[in-house]
Amino acid sequence: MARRQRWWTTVEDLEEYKEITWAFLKNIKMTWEYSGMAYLFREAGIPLCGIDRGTLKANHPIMAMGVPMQRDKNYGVDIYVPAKMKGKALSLLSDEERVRECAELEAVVGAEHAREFNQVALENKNRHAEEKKRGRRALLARFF
Amino acid sequence: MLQTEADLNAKSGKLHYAFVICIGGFLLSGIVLAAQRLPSIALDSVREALGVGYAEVGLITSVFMLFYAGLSLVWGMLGDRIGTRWAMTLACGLSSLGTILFGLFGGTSLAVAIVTWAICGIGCAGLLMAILPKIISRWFAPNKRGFGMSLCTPGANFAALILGVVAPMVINGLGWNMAYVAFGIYFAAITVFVALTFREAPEDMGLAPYGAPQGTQAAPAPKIEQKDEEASGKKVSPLRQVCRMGITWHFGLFYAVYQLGYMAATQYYVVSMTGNGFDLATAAFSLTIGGVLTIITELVVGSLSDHHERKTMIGIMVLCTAVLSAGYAFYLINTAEPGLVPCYFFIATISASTGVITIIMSGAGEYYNDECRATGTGMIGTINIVGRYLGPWVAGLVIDATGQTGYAFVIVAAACLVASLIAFAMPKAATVQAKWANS
Repeated sequence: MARRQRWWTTVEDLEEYKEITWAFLKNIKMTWEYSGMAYLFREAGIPLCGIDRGTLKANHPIMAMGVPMQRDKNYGVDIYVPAKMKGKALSLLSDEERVRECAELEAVVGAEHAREFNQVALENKNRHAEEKKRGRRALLARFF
Repeated sequence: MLQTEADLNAKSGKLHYAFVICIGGFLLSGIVLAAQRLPSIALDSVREALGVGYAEVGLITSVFMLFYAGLSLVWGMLGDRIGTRWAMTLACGLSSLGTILFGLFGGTSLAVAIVTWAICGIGCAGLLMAILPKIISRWFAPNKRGFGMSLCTPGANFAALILGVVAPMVINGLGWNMAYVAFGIYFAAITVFVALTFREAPEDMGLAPYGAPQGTQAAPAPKIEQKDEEASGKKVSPLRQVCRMGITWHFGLFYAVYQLGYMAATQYYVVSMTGNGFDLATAAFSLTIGGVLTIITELVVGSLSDHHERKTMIGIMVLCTAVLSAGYAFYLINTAEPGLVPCYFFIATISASTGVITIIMSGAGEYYNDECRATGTGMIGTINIVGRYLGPWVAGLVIDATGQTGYAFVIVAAACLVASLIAFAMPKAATVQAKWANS
């Protein structure tokens, strides 16, 4: 079955995310690549966003019917960073050994960071929702 | 894809917000069914109040059905434009307003009754087929959409079961006018629930979509640097794209043919028994058995369709309807005095097999991308108006010509057989999506 492909980001505040102009960085396929990148970029203050491109069988089920599972082409995940930080991001990724080390570090601290991230992201969501609500109330108050 | 990343939602341990959307869908399905059943229950009271005949009072429901079936496309387009949350709130609000106005002013003249009930029809058109598949497909991953939809559509069956008992009591207690006002207020309460709780997508709740790495949140499509973005051509409107997609006409043809059989069956369940010597109460009880079985079937096949290709499931279920209808027709035509148990068996199982509508609704939505999904399902909902009207009419013509109610189910069997063949010939959802994503 086709899988819905949706963007995701490490930016905690989606209002900030909307203001950023993003540039394509690279396509990755391995979990360690993402984990290493996530750790490195977090340390360097570089946000990222990405989208899953699916697999051959997922995107072209009939055409790929005869392709065995082990040869199912993986289209990976496209990673984008803010256009202004692309150069810095590329230089950080040039050292593959360092990326692998960071992937191991991410395995240790990743879950804890994810919990904190979720909390902050949700707080931001609620704050923006509250601001919108206040805006609506102010608008109504102007009329009545 | 990064295959080993866990879904954040799976770790939360809390009830996913998608189930709140399902509660809303369940209540909305109930409104649509209630709006279709209420006039038939209060028919005689309304007719006496207006001092008109059955043909005239029938116009009230005919005009309602015209708007209900005909405006799906408009609601679908509106859903794509203003968002599913507000489109459904508006639709629900109109249904509520129409019902209250019908209760307050419907007794003054036939024209007012038709106009006020038409308002309810306009609202109901936006509650089910037009927009519901879109919001469900946003909140549920593709492998869970059938399950999600199967939690919404039984609302109609539950409403049918409850309404049969509650509506006569309310009408007898309050009179038909105030009964409509009471149901209108209930619809208004659902409108408030929808407005307050419905959210467009998981992003609005800070929840991660299926398959996103941990430490991230779902986000709208970003603003990408111009040089990396291919110069896009002229933007095609959702309606134009939907019309250009072959699946719209393929699925529309399937659904129109299926509705021909479905409407013929639902119209003549009771008549097929009363025409063979059973009293109305005994015959109507078959609908209750059928209703319970339909709810169970919807839940089972809805989840099953998450694990098998949906169009295949649709084809198999519709084929079951065809076989059972053919069996019922054969039994009625060749038996001088049909027995109660065989009649109950056939009606209940035919009714249960129509639980496929759950898969039809989730399947239709999957053929379209998010930008034109509501327009696509709305278009299919509008095309099926042909079958909706032809079904009871054609079956009626055949019964009049032969003098036997069993022949109505020959029409049902033939229509469902053709519909199942059309369903089997449909392309897979992923193929259609991949094709149009690249175009």
